[in-house]
Amino acid sequence: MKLDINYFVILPQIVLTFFFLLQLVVDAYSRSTGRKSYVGYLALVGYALLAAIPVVVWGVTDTGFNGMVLFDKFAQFMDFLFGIVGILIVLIAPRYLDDVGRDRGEFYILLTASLLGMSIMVSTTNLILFLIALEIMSLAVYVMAGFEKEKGRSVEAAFKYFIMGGVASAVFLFGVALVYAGTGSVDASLIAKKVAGCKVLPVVLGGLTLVLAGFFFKIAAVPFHMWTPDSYEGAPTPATAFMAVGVKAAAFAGLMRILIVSVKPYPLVIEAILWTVAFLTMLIGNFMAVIQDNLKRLLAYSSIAHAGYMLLGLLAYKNGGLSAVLFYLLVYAFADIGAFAVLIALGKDGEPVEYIDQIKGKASIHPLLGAAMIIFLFSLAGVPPTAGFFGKLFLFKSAISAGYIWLAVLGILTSVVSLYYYLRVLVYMYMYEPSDVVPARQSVSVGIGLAVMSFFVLYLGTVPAKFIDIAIDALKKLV
Amino acid sequence: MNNIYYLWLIPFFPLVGFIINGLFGKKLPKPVIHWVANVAVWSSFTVAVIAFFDLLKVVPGQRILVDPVYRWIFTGGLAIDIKFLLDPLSAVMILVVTGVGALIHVYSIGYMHDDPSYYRYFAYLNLFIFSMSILVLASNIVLMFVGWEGVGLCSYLLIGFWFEDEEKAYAGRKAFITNRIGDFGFILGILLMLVIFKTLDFVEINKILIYHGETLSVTALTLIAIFLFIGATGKSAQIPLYVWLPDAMAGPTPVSALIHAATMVTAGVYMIGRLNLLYAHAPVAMAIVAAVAGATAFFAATMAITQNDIKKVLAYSTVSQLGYMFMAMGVGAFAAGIFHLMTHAFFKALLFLGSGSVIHAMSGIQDMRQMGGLKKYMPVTYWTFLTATLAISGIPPFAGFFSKDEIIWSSFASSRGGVVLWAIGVITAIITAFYMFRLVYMTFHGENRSPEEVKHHIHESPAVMTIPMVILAILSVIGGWVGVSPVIGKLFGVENSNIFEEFLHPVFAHAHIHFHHYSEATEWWFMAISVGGALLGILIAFYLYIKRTDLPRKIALKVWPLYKLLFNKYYVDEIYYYLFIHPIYLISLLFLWRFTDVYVIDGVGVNGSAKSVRFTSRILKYWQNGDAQVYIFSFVLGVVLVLGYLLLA
Amino acid sequence: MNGFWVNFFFILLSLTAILSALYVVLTNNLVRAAFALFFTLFSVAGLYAILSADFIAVVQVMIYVGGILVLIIFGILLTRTVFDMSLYDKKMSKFWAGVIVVIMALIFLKVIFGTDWLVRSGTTIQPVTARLGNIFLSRYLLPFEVASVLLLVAIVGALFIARREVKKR
Repeated sequence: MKLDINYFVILPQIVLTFFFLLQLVVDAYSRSTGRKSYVGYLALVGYALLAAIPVVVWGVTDTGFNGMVLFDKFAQFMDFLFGIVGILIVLIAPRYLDDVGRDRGEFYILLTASLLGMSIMVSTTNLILFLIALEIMSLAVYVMAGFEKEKGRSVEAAFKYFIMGGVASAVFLFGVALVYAGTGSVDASLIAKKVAGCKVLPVVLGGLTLVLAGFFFKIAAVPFHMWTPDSYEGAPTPATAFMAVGVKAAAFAGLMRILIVSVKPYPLVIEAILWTVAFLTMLIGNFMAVIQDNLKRLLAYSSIAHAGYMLLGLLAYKNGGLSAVLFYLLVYAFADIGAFAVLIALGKDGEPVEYIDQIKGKASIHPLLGAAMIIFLFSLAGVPPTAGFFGKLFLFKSAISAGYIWLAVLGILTSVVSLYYYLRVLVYMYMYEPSDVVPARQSVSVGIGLAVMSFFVLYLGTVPAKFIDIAIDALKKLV
Repeated sequence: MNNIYYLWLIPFFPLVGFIINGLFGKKLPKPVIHWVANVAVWSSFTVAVIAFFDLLKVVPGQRILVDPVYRWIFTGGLAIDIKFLLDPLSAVMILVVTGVGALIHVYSIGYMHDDPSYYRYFAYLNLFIFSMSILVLASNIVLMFVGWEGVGLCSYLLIGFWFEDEEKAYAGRKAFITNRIGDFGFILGILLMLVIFKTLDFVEINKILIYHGETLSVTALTLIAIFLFIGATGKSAQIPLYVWLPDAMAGPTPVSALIHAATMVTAGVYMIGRLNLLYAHAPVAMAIVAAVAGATAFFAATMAITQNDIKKVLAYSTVSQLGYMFMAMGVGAFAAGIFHLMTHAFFKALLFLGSGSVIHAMSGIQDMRQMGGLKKYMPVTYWTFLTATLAISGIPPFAGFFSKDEIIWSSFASSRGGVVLWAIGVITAIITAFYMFRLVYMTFHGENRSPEEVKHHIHESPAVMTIPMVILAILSVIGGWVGVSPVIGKLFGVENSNIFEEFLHPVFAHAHIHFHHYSEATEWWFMAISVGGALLGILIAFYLYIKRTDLPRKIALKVWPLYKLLFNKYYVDEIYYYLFIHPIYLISLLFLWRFTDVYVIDGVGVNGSAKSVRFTSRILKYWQNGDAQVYIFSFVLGVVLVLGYLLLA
Repeated sequence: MNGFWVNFFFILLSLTAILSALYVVLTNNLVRAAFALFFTLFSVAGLYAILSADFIAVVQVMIYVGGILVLIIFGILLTRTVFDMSLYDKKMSKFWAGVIVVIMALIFLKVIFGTDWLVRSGTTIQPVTARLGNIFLSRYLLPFEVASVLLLVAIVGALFIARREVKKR
């Protein structure tokens, strides 16, 4: 067999692996010399490169390793997104980790590793390679969730996520095995060709649905979501932000690739499954968020709800729903990390913000943080002229064009519900007397991160056309 | 279609004002703050006037001027511009918004004089004018929606302006949430519009409707119209979403005048006027609008009878008057509806400013039972207030008479109206006259019933407050003379006396709503009936509140159940609470929570420190009970759910 | 081996695997569970052998039985509190678990019997180790390399969790 080695198609992965190893060495060295670890800065450089590669090579596409790796526009778009997410997490993480006395280099090393996994996930249709990549990402994130290892809840978060993730991976792998048994292939694009025209093979269909179940776990769709609130709540806030945005985006991207090939032979069953799951996810995610007093838990349920909206876009795959999902992922990344970043910025030494009581009246002490929170939460709720409005507009529009009117109605209705709990957060920030007037510590990096994110939420809300075009472009070849 | 390149200045000035006051207001001295805000809004008004005269220069049939600012989105099957549109309809609206807005800015200088958050108030007020002018001038429905949400946000911020008061903060939130329920309909309407018309531009949509209106599905058009009307019931406080407006009176009184009487709440009426062709193509939707409007007009009026808070009476009156406007829209008398919108803006803003002046004088007391006899203390307020009251009661020749009478007459004469709507209109007119004069008599006439320490503080308001009131009073008198019914016009020998309708005619010309023709004598009779009704209402009020002041109590006791029903506003708030809010909360709390989050249920409402204790204990409990099993169970259940299709297939 | 003995061993090994796995899940004694796991893993290795996957059968024995299981048992024996712990859990509902397992089983039975399986006939069974080696270094080179990164990440994560923290200040 020919060794189809093509270094160009794995350029982002090479960069990430290089920085991963470099960080390991530098961290070990700086620890032995007792100096402060600089791996965070290294991470910034690496992620900036990751985000820059797609910008430079945009449109130059190729495949390598016997078709195992696809370096297409879709993968490039996602690499860009991952680079941005990585940078934002690195900007907001040090402040929190410092607050809880655990500013350790491993956090950034693991972050690089999981980004590496994510970047492989989005550039392959080979289910084996995908699964290994998924495991790289997951393993790193499990440890990130348990980063405050002396805190019970952090360990609990990691443990639950790990156990549940193990089950999900097993189900996924079993599905792959069934698909292989039915078709003799583990490459999703070949599978589609092999089953095309044949009568329904239950074993392939069953395998594909199990694979879908594995994805539903990672995107935290109902009823595969149970771990989400506990893990998001217990994990260190920057890790939570990363789980809510990065992991979810990677899983959605992977789902899109698999879905497009699996939905062709079995449209009815797959659509029925997606319909049910989207319905439950939007409903339960939003309703559960209403009663949360823990802000991280609230945002966890809100992230479940957002997965529901995006499932709506997947369902409308024929009517531009997928590009709507891509755009939504971008918009959601800025707004959601932004909301977590505000929580981090309001935290005090050894006392990170978690409960809604803790942010009472903070807007009067930190007016800029208050304003940023308004922008982020309004974007999450979909209020114009923030980016979230256009994100939702495109999702719901594609759903309606695809004929899922009642699901779109539910989506809009639940967005109304969502405004209630987002607004509640703002009411606490703005309409109460602060319990203590000591301002939180200033942090330059969090400030830069917040400025970037608020800018992009407003920018994508006022001039969204360019990025929507890119999202549509990224999916042209895929559909 | 001609271009008018300076239209963007109208929203621009208040935006600048907002930015200056919003960012630096805390450090600026008070005069600078109100000068900035006032200059901004007066500049907008000036631009609006100039634009209005530029519009008049154009031939009546082609009065559509646009100001394309920039292309917002052009992708993914969507083309949305940031583009402003000036036609007779938006010209009227923008003049009302900036004009009344400017007067209220001046008034606010006096009213808010002692408020510590002076800058915040003026910043929000400028932001409101900005959003409202976006809403009015928008040339497509998405841009309109931006304004729509913007005014909602400002309204929320201003209702909850004195947020130290928990109840007021709650009122703000109630307004926002209720509006969002309406917005849900509005968004659906937009999305359906996009699917049906493939464009969201008003001019384009009208073109499609004029040339291909018959080929479009009536069901789809009806759905769009109904969804958008749901949005309007939220913003414009119609049944079933009117509940927020009375509570919105928690905001400063000039805000009630500007936002919750004159401008924002009329946005729904304006929206229907903008899309009149769409509504004309959806008769069922129009019938629904008319029916809802009639019911709102009547019920809101009855609720106003028993209120004792001076602002609450005016709030219900606003709901009722908005009902009139929607009634006009529903029967296809679009020009009449917009006409009433304009006159109502004058006299209702004046009523609120007057009540603000009273509250100012009474050191914050709003209960009319503690007022009385204020006429001699504050003559300017009294006389302007009386003018507005006569106007709203529909007494000729005050402004309200012409607009309201035109609506009542149209509701009878239109092919989409009928006797029932007309009767509701007349009965509501009687009730309106009654409760308004009840208010005047209780506040300005009779004995002064205020507490001693308040009594010697009562004074006339300063000129900065009374001058806007006087201007609005003049407008409340003469404002109606631009839309005089031809029947009356003939009496004075004036041809084409209804200039207003003629001016708006090009906008509504294509709707083709049929009006039955009746003899002039019939029209005179109907006019006599409505004026007579208003006089009757005034007489009853005079008898009950001046002559026999003991009677109201007796009557109330006699019909106690009915009185209680009215006094509690038909228990609608309570019904909503038990029907919607409570169940949603309960479902979230009990059903879903029990399934997944059993442990927190005993902790709702417990304070923070107890929470953390409970939290630790719950982790231990949690850990050992291994609820992760439940999670895995749910996961496997999900797998069965997705695989179940295989078993059934 | 002829068909009868293949079927005999398949059924024997499968039953052992299933029953011992059930015991692992249902017993309250951790040590017994660990030893029962030995039977599960070993019979799975036997199944591999029957399916002529010689390399995987050996790896299963070496790594799972010889490595991981021994590690687990060491862990249990060296940790007193775990050794004495009862796994009894009153919240675990065996009934519902049973119901859902039966439903799952029904679904998979339907899947298995509803499929026209491709039966490969006439090929002789050959050792796979050499072929696997070739594939790992040619066609599956990339997954092979990526898997090594996965192991590295696992090591980093494990070290971080296991390391004793030196208190600052």
